[in-house]
Amino acid sequence: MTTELDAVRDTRPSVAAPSDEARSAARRRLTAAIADEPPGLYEHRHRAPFPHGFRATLARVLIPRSQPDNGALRTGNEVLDPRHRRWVATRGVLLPVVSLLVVAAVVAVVVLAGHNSAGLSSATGARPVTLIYRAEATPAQPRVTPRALERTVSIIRSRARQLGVSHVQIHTRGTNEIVVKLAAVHNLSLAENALGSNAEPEVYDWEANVLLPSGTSAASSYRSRTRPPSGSVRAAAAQRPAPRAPVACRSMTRSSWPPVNRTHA
Amino acid sequence: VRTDSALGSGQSDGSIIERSVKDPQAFSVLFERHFDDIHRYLARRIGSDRADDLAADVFVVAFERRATFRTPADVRPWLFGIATNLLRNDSRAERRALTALADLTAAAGDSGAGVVGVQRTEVLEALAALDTDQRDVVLLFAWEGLSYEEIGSALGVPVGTVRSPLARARRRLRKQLAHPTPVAGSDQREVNE
Repeated sequence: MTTELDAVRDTRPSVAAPSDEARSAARRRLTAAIADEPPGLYEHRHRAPFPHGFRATLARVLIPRSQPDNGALRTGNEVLDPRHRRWVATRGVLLPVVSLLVVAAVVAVVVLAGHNSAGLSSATGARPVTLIYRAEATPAQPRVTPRALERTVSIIRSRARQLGVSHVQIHTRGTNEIVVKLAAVHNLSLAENALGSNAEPEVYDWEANVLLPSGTSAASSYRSRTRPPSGSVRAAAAQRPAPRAPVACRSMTRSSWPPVNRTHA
Repeated sequence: VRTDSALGSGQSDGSIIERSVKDPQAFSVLFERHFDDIHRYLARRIGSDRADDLAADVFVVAFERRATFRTPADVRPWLFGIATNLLRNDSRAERRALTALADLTAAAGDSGAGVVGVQRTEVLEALAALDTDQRDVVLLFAWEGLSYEEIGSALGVPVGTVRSPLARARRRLRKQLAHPTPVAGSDQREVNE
C-alpha cells in the first residue's frame, strides 16, 4: 500500500557529491576551529557554574618559577613550563637520581594513599599552584555580590576538605575574583576539575546564559513544571533545546567566555 | 587534518568523539566519514551552493559541542540534527528551493504522476507548505531514511514525540494532495525579501 510518504520519497532529488573545493573549504574551517581551541578551554566552557547564577571561570594559573619542572604539570596537550624541554635534554644524566626518586615515590605513595586524591598531594615532586577564578555576571545573576562570592569560597573550601587537601588557602580578591592557593599539586587538570567543577555533575547552566533573539534566556523557554531554579536545569532538560538554539546564540556563548591564560608568576 | 587511515580507523564514532575531547584533532575523522552524507542532505533541502557553507558549519558546531554527544555509537543522527537546526535559520530559503524544484520539475516535463499517482510538483508544493517541524521529520524519514529512534536522537526529542508531528504532517500532506493549492504567499515572500 502506497502512502503520502511514498509520494514524498518519490520526490527525493538526486544531488551530486560535494565538490572538492567545497570539501576542502569545509575541512579548512574545521581545522581552523580545532586550532583555535586553546588547550583546556573546552572543559572550562562547558563546566557548570557554582550554584549562585554567576559563572566562575578559571582565569589564571600561577606557577612559581623557582620550582623545578618534573614534567608532571600538564593540562591538555600543553606543557606549562617551557623549561620542560631542557629537562628532557638532561634527563639522561639524571637517570640514576630518578631511579632513587622512584623508590622514594613508591614509599610516599604507599604512605599517602589514604590522604591523597584527585591529583592533589603534598608529596615530593609536586609544586605550589595558584588558581584564580573570575566570577562573571550572567542573565540569571546580573550582579556578582560579595555574599555569593563568599559562599562560593566556602564551597571550594568544602571540596578541598573532602579531597583531603590540607594546605590550601582560599580567599576573595577585589570584587569578582577567588584565589585558591594549593601547596602542592601533581596534576593540574585534575586539581582544576576537582575544585572548580560543579558539585552536581547532573546540572548545566548552558541555557541560563544564552540569550534568544527575543532577549530572554533560553532557560526561560522551558515549560516543565518541575524546572529547578534559574541557572540550574537538569542535564536531560538542558540538552533537548540546546541543539535547537539559533546560530546567533552560539556566537554569543562563545564570545562570552574569555580565553584561559596560563601565566608563570 | 589527519586522515581516517592515520587515525581512528575501525573505531566507532562514539569512541572518536570521546577521544576528541582530549585530542581535538581526532574529530577530523568524523568529518571524513560523514561530510558527504551531511552535504547531500543539505543540498537536497536547500541547494548545493548554500549546502557548501552549512555543511562546514555543521562540523564546526559539532566540534564545539562534542562533549554533549551522548549516543554510544552512530554519530549520523546527531549530525543530521545539527544540520536540521541550522536549516531552520534558512527555512524561507528552503521553501523557495522546494517551490523552485517544483517549477523545474514541471518545466522539465517530469511532473507526471509518481509512484502513488500524485503529481510530483504537487508533492513538492505540499512539502513547502508544511510547518518547519513537520517538514524536518518528514524529510528525515522519507528522504534520508532515518528511523523514528534516529529522528528522535537527531531532534533531541523522545521517539513518541516524533510520531505526532509525522502524523500531523501526513494528514496535511493528504489533505493538500487531495485539494492542491499553490504555496500560500510565495509571491508576497519574494516581494518582502
